[in-house]
Amino acid sequence: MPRRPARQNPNSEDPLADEAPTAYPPSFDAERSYVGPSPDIFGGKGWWHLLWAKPDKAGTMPAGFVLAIMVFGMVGAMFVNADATLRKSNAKCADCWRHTVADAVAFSAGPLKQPRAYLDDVRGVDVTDAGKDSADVVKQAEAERAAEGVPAEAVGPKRPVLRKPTPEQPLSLWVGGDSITGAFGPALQKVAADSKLFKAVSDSKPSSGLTRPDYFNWPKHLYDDVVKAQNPDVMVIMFGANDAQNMPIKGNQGYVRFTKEWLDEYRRRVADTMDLLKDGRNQRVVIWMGAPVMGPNSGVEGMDKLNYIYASEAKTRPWVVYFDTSAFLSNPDGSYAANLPNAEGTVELQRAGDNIHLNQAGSDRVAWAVLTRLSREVDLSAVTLAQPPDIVAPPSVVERPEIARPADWPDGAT
Amino acid sequence: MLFPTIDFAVFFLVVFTGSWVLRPRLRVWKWFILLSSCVFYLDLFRAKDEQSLLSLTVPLVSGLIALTALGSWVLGESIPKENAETRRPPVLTYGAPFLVYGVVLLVAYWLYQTFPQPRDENWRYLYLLLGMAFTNQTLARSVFASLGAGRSRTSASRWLVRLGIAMNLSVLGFFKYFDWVAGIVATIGPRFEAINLLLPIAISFFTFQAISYVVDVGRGELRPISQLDFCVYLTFFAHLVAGPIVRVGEFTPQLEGKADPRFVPASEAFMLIFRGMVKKVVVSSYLAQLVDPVFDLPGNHSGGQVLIATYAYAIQIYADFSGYTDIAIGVALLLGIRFPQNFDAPYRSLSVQDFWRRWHMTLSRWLRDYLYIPLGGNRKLAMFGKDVGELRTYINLFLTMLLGGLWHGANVTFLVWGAGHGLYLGVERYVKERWALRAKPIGVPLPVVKVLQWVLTFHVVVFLWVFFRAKDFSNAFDVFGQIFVSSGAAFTFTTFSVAIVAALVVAMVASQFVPTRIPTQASVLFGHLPPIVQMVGVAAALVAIDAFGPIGISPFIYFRF
Repeated sequence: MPRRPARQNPNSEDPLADEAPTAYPPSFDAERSYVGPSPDIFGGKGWWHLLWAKPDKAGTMPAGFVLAIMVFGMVGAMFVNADATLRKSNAKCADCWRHTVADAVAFSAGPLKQPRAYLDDVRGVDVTDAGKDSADVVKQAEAERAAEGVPAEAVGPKRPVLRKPTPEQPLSLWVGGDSITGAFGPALQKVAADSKLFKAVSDSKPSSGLTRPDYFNWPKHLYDDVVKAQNPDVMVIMFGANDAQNMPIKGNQGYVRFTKEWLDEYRRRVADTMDLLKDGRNQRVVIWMGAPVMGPNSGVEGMDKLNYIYASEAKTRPWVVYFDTSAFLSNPDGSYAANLPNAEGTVELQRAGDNIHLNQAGSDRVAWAVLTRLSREVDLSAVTLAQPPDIVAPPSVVERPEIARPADWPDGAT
Repeated sequence: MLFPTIDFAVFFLVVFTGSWVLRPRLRVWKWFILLSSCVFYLDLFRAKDEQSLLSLTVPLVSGLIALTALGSWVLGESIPKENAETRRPPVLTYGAPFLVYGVVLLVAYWLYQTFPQPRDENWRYLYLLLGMAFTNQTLARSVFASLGAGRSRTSASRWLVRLGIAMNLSVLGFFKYFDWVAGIVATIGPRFEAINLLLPIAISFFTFQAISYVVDVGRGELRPISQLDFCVYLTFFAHLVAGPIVRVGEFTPQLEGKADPRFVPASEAFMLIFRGMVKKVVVSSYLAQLVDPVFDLPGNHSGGQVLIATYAYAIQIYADFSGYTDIAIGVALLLGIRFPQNFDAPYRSLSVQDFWRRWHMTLSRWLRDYLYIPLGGNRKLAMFGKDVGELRTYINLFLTMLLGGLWHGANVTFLVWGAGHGLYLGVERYVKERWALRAKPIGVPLPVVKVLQWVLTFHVVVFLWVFFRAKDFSNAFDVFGQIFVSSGAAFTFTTFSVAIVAALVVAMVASQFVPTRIPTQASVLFGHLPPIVQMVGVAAALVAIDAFGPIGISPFIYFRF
């Protein structure tokens, strides 16, 4: 049999390539090949050649110089970008080597940080407010309400009574929080929008919470960008998954998580956030969702402590309704379960592989539960809401009437 | 690790230095590249907060490299000679692939049973990757040994090639499509428990590369390379995750130590990396923030916003994918390896046929060489013994595009996307042939014709991208419904300005028409600057990209594959 010729295209007229492929680059030309002893990666040039370049071949330079350019370029960028890097590393971990390095660099960068600050100014990005304390936001909210002339009695201890939504005049609904709401938010959005009684918006920020306002300042965002800009009638909010970490206070100090100081400070932030969400005319309902119980190997724990804080603060605030998310995402005894039965009895997976986030089924399940809870606060009878039995939880699943103080609560904490 | 992160930058500095220092000693260099690629792959699956990179990779990768070394020795690392000089007994030739495949599966099963915790998952996928490297290499050697005189195909070699393809596709099919098929079967009949497999990142890419190797050997176009070379080829971190689908024939010759560290093509590489990072981190992430809410809930947006978001998605996916590919090509170039081009200004194409010659070029050529041509290509084959003219060609086009769509993901929307392209290619071909047969030209001036062709092609592509992006059918039809049927902006909650996004879309499309010599000249000019100035330039570029990018990196779209 004849030897098969070198690779060629037997189909010279096929429509996926009508001429010889010219786009594929040629292989290395022979001139470049060298055979010999290992050459110097600096191409025989001394360090002073870094100050001027005369490439022997256009577009090339010795590997050592490329390395120098990359290293010094990145180090330079690290110093100029020091503030932004410090903010990002703060979000990841307060006490790891990354943070220590970022701290040191930011400290020593000095005037090099100016160009980045100028860039941020030009873009109108306001980074100095990132650490604004929630108490300041509450003061700002109260001041602005007073300036509008809203009498203080209007925000009395009564439950808000919203108007009845209809398909012609829906209520506005905002759902947001940390990355769990990344899937849950759109699910609630869809359920709410399909009911035609709501126009819904989802606003989730991964890796965020109330513990690290230096990474993302929720109180400020909630007040400026949600309450003032959008003025939603219903707000559904969830934190907790990212809050179980040490809380940096001033400089390099911080509270270790779940100690008395940490819990008191967290409680204060929760209280302030709830306060700034109240509407001047008591026309807003806030559904504050508890964090769901987390699974094994998730690396997240202590949600029961956070939920106790949320529930106890919500009790004294009539515009806030605490919703027991865990009840819908756990076994009847409260323990973690990734697979749970729906109203038809079929057991389905509700969580993502990390045992933290909700998958589509879990998001839909909780979304319907939240809508049902909302129907106790707002009159949703304009439309018949048919709960799909293959999605919702069985009727036996109900919220716990009381969120008890956890057994390992530290002494002295509120 | 994702390309545009600090982790990768540090990793690459180490690999770059090590690579050029070790390059003169080829074997050591190849092991070094293999080791780095394994570290890179492992890091993709690392549970970030629980495991530090070093504690995880050092013991495991050493163990796995030792395994590879042992395997190479056992299977023989030398490049096999032509058939006439081979004295392997047939049992070894035909039995070895089954044996290796069986051993790999058994060990995988045992490992899965012994270490079921999620945190141990990462090295399991590295094991999958290396296991595929072993099995395919054994198979290729067997195929080569069973070829006839002058490397002609024999029935034995054909069957071995089919076995190889089946084995690779079954691995791909299992990890990627099992849950989807189980879901479909469940609606019809018996209930399968979905296994909820975690898709090994890059599986679509490396299985396709392995298939191309086996088939090339089977066609007599390629001699099998050494086990080490093949492992380096399959695992090379630059193209592993979503890079161009390279062929053994264009990759392994570059491993033979011809790259000169005195002449690293730095200007082109820096230009590619900078361009890629701007496209990926700035353009794509910015558009993603706008496009995602629209596709999640089209009903919340006005028709105009949904329309502009559809165009924006076309730009987003282009910027995302071509940016990633540019970074991959630039990174490989800095290591002295040249990848084939993967994108060539696809949004300037005047026909969908042209589009596929400019978009994901390496996938198109893979589909052409290993799917379209084996199906018959455009040879006017008969069907059921009857002459049907061009019908086979159209069917082949359609099937190729359909399977290409399916490759992208386990969802009906991908099938629809692929089928749409396949159908349109057929229609386009038919229309062009009939048009060319016209005796009289229509009388429309050529530039106008070209503009109309461009408008038509661009809109067909954008229209089909909606299916690619949508979660499911109803989502896609919601989007279309909102564009065509919506009653206007009654109640819009998102505040992005249609004008700004439209301007960005227009700018990106216009940039496709810039002739390539301009960026090439720019990179050459950059290369002539003193290195000190280039350092400042690199620093400034990194800062600017970080400043204009969003917080956090939006997940790379093609990561799912």
